[in-house]
Amino acid sequence: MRSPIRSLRERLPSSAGNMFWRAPEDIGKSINSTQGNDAEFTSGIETWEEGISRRRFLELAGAGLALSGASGCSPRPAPSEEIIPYVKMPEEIIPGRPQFYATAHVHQEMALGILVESHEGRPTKIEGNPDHPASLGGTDIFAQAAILDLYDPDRSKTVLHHGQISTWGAVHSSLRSALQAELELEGAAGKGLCLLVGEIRSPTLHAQLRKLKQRFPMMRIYQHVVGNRENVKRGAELAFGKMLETYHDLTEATLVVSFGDDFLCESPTRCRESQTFMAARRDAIDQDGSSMSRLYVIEQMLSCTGAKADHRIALPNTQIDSFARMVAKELGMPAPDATVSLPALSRTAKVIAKDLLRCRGRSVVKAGPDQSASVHALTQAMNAYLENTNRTVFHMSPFWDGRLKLDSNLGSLVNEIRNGSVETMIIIGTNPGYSAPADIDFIAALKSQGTRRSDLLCFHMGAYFDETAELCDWHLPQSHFLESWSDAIAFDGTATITQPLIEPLYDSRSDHELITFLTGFQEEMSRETVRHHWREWWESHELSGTFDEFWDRSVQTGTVDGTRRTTVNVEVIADWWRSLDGARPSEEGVVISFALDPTIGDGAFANNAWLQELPKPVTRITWDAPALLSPRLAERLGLTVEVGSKGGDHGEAVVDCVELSYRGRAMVVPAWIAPGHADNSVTLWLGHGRTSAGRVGNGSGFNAYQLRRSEAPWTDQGLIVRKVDRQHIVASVQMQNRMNESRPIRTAAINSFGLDSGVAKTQSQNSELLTVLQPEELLSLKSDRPLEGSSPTLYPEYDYGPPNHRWGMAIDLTSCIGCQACVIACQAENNIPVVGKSEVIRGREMHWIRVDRYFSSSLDDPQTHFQPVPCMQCENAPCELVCPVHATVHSSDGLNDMVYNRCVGTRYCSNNCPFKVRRFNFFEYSDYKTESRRLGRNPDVTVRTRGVMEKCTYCVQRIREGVINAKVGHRDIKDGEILTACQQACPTRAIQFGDLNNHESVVVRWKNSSRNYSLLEELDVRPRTTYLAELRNPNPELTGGRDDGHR
Amino acid sequence: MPQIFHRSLNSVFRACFVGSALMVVGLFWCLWVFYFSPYVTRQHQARIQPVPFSHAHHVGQLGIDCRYCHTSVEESSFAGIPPSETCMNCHQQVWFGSEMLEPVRASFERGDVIAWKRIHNLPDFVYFNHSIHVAKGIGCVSCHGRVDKMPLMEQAHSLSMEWCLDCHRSPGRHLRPESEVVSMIWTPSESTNPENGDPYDGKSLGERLFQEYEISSSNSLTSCSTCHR
Repeated sequence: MRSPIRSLRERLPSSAGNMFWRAPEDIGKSINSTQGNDAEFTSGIETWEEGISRRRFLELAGAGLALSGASGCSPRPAPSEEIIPYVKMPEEIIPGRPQFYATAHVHQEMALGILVESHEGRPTKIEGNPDHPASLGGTDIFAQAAILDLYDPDRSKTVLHHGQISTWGAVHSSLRSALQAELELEGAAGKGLCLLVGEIRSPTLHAQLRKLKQRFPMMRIYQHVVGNRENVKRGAELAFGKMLETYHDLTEATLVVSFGDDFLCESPTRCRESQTFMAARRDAIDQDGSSMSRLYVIEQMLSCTGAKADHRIALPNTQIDSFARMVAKELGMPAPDATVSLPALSRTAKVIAKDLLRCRGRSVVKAGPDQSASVHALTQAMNAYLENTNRTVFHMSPFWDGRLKLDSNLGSLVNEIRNGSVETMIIIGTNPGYSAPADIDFIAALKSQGTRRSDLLCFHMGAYFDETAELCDWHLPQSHFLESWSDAIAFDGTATITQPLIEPLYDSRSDHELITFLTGFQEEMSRETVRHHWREWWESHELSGTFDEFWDRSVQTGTVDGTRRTTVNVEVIADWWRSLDGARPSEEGVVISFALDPTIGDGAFANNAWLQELPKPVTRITWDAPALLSPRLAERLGLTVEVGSKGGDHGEAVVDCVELSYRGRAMVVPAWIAPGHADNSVTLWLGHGRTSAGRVGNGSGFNAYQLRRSEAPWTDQGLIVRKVDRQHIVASVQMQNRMNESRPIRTAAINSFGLDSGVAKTQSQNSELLTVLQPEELLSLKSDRPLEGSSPTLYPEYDYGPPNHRWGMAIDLTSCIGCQACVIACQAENNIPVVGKSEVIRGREMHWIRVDRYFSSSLDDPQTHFQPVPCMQCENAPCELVCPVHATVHSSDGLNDMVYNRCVGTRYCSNNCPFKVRRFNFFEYSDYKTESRRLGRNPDVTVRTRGVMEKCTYCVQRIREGVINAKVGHRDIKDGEILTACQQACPTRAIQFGDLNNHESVVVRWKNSSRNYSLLEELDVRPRTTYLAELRNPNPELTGGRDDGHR
Repeated sequence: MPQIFHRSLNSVFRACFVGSALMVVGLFWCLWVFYFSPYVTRQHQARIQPVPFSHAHHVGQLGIDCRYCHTSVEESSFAGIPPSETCMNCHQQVWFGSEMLEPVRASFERGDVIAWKRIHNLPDFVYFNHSIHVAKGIGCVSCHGRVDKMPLMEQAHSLSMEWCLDCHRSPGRHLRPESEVVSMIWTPSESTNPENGDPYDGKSLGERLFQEYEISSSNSLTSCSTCHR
């Protein structure tokens, strides 16, 4: 049903139905009213996969019949299977047991230490390295999904010259002749040579580039990174007068104010900061709650961090600077005047400033990398003024040698090319052909009269034959980071030597190997180059022991001892604030802001199907990138949205399109009404609309780079938005897998929780404040529902007494930040396929764990809640009762086993599942054909075929392995020895899994907490997965005395 | 209208009814027998291997311990097939020039792999783990049969799920002392009961070891996810 926003808004205050809504369309509907059209599966099972015509079907059916006569009848085991042993077995390998190697994944120019699981030489899974300061054991979606990139069949496999297959020998001779000519220019070597690089994260590569520059002194090195940290650097320069690196330690921070920084999910230090921030919060709750930290977030688009904020202020990006200036002034420090007046927020600024002064020395003020340099300067100065330096905020000297100048101005490179002053250009690991700003026509510069320029020899090195490769003469395949040696540094300077897990699958080379050749016309394995660099470092640091010992230890542990930077003391320069921009921005039109896509970044991960299908946090959109705008703007424009309401169509959202006109360019994009988005502004995600990403990434979404300009890369005013008469189908999972649960989330404010029971009021189920769990209720949950579940039952009780185990899980909703690392980890661990956009629309996505997002309170400033939902492993499981073939049965340790080889696909179990956690293979989603994909599968988990039901098993393969290892070793299982994939990946440690028979375990402690509750308790299915209620710490001065956790 | 069938055919019809019912049952019985026949399960069928390795010689005559070659049997799900290097430990001196061993020497020298035919092949949805069976006192011979009498390796049992469950339901009678796991010829009567000094019979030893090894209940051993994941 198509509902105008206004009527939704009207429904809000009086709604007696869902107090927690998943989409605006959901508001005010009572739970029961949706039942009639809430069937789980689409009624027309005849809906075919895209592209299968009737004719094709008959062909396939015919071929199937013929083949079944030939081979299908034999029940005999395949006779041809072979066992191929090693010729000489490596000493450390035990066949059948995985090995773990430390290395690092680099994203946004910073290293995340990881451990990679390898089965007989095949890397299959990535985990966090607990000894690495950036990981602390947690991972993010990008590190988890990197394994899929390695086995991507669309990766570039050979050297190409003008589209024809060529060899590295030919590349080398072409490079040699071009560079030899450069060298012969006396005193001007490199005059015609240009290098264009992407992220430089490797100290070795940096040193190599310096050496190359010495050889070709006139060479120019340009850098093109979309998500760069230019503003962060410039901000530090404005405040301190010099280049600095800064990091924050949230362990002791009791107050965090974030100006547009999604530090929990998007920043390069997300794993560390989210873990330390949430661990401190949990500790505070465990004590008495009085020391729980508070989080203020000021941002435009609702992010994960904004969703977790105790107070969130939605402001267009152009006004955040002014608000920061207001807060600074309220702090009593010298600060420039706000350029935009925000009278409505003056009281808020006062309150935040007061809170900051209260937490002097224990607070952190943050700014996002897409905020202006002025905001960064302000936050640096505020931190210094609040005496946070060397307590929660630490400064270090720059990581990179300033002698190597990397020019990030792509425009001047294009001018050079146009002038003809570039004869040889080498592009390494960056894709300006796709991601250059609209005002810099990189593509046109490389072409003359529609074809490649003949006066420019252009080499492109990359993992894919992408948009830029198409423009170049040569394309050189680049090795994946799991295929080559390199090194990388983390936020605090800690270096990791990244080791390969596998020989290059294709004829690729690493960037080190290319630069080595450019410097000396000699080939050298990257291991030697990296070793050489670290030998020099080792010699200069006069460490004890031999170099080999140092090397082995560094490679093995994943960190290089002694590389962590020491912090430096710096002073804010006098009158720093006078240099800040004081120009008043024009107030015409709407604010346009760009953001990296939350799952596919700047487009580099566009061909990663796991990340494409991962619902974006908060919006829950997959495979697409509509423009996000606020409900109020949508109301003014008359936009509507229609969500498929028939069974199985809940993934379909038909949205209106808008035309965005900005500085002479126009684009028609679908519009997504995003509750909580700042009014009068539009956010566009970069990274979509690619044309040469590969089979997965091509054609998803819209290319927002076509509107982006180099002078205002992140935000600008002056956008004109107009509704057009066109509609677009967006695949969003926000309305899928709905449970008939009126209170999925229990939430409370810390200052009303349990501490003073006199404050608590008993609330009836239907009252307005039903969303809020009152302390008495919280406490009563415990007495109502002991671990065992004591309500009478007609079913025979299971016996789980020791030595048997009784597995259980508890998920802390206070800690969950909605990052979905668990979803990708589960997908990698359990060989879960992707289904594509059209199947997501039909409600057939396969994720075994989903992170539901609920909104509550107002449409424009909602409170946001995340809830990871895996299989609940019910004690009285409704699925088990209805299976006609016993394909889902109770195990002796309390799991609901799913037996794929028994399943005949009736889907009764899924119909009967109240939590909607079962997934059905409507088609053969698992890719059995692509050779490279098969290498990456987890050999401990069955690959499911068409017609089979599947679901979360608590990673039963890990449980069985852990139990067997303990039994073989004649010992008991320690708590924390068996980790589920979701638990291990979770950066905030929000998921705890363990044996409920072990009363010392963390999961038992959590389940005994007064915050513990289970979903759909009234059904008495006794879920083994329970939740800890979400607590927040709102400032009473801003809630106006309402201590209910709502603003 | 005259009757088509004479009254005397009644008994023929009755016989046909009963007969067809029997035929249906018989057909299913035949299929059942066929399905579990050695023809289908490939039981007792020796296969040609790249090198005609004889367990009868190496185990039966020379008495080499199983674990000399199958090194990971105690610590991994996979017992391990020896690398060519292991063969050469002896064969660089014994039978050095033998033509039969040419593929082994070639493999060792040139690094070519030897592709052995898999004999014990479980379906891909079955996850068998050697280490736990060995640790809990299941002898090699219980599943693999008298390999010391097999010139070429063959499958001694059907490896059907029924056969696995037979033991998982009551493992007692297959248990043996840890020291005898690899023995091909051990019988329970070789062990003596410390309580009365008498030799054990299979049942009483099984009961004792079942307690001693703390073997899980049959309920646990027959849970689906014990073997299927």
